[in-house]
Amino acid sequence: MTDHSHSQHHSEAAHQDAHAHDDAHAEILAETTTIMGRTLPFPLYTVIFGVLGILTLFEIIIAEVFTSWVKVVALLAIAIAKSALVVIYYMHLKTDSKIFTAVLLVPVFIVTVSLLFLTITPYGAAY
Amino acid sequence: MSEITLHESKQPALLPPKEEAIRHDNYKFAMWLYLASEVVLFAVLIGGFVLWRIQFPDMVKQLHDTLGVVLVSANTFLLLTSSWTMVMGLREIMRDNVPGLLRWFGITAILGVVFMVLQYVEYRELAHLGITLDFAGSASEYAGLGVRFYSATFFHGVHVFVGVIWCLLVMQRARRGAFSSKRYTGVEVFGLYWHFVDVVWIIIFTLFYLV
Repeated sequence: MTDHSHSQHHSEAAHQDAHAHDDAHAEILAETTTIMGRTLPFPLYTVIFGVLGILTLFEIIIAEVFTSWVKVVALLAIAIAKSALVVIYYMHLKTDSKIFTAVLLVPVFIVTVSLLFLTITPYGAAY
Repeated sequence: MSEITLHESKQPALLPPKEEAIRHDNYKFAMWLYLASEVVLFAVLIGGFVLWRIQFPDMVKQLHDTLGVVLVSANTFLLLTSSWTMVMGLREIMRDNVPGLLRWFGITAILGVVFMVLQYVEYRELAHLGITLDFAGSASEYAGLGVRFYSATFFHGVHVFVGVIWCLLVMQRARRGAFSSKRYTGVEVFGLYWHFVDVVWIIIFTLFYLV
């Protein structure tokens, strides 16, 4: 790659980054949010808050109504969905550098595998 | 002899946009690295409780039946709301609206304080049930549960406390004009911390109180 094409490549990457940054700002500052073709009269952050609240209500209802393994699976799925919404939208992983995502996911993956291993191994003394 | 007057600026000069963006991302990257270490710490504490819960499901069920979910659900909604008020504050500073930031962050701090008060109320209820730290072991029907429950929830509570103090410091800096639509790294980095504390509570709420 020549110096000229190298610097041109950098310039294009910087331009794309700046563009993505501007898009992210516009999405945050907008007074309305469009989801699946429908425009809601609330900012993005408020829509996410509403979804989190509804999911929490579902969690409480499921915990009170169900008793089988379905309850455990449903509650874990909702907790993961809620966490993902906070991390993606409130902590801006959707638009930030993918390195930030990797920094979060690597330890999450390691501790998840470790805990799953511990849950299938016999537990020691009761105390 | 001419006099030399030094003008001390309260805030460092704004860097050119490109350098400012790099600085912003560097601070956020540092915060993410810190949060990665927190993931491991909380995983150990939460995992300790989960393993115990798998071994003694009846004890935890009895605790759930006694406590109910009203208080902890209220606390969960408080923390979720505080995450929302936090990002709304960030949104205001991105529009150069410092009073807006102060208003939303003030609510965030109050919600954090109320969360801690309700957690204290819950701890008192648990203490009445005989659930204590119990390090040396006891004849209590909940022996072994307390240390696992309190270590994770109290450690989280300490994070809320630190978050409230941090929130007040950010507000103080905002009052002094430290933040604007071109410089809000301090606000966003605090936001990462506060949302992480919220995510940890989402996990604790599910695994400790609902499952």
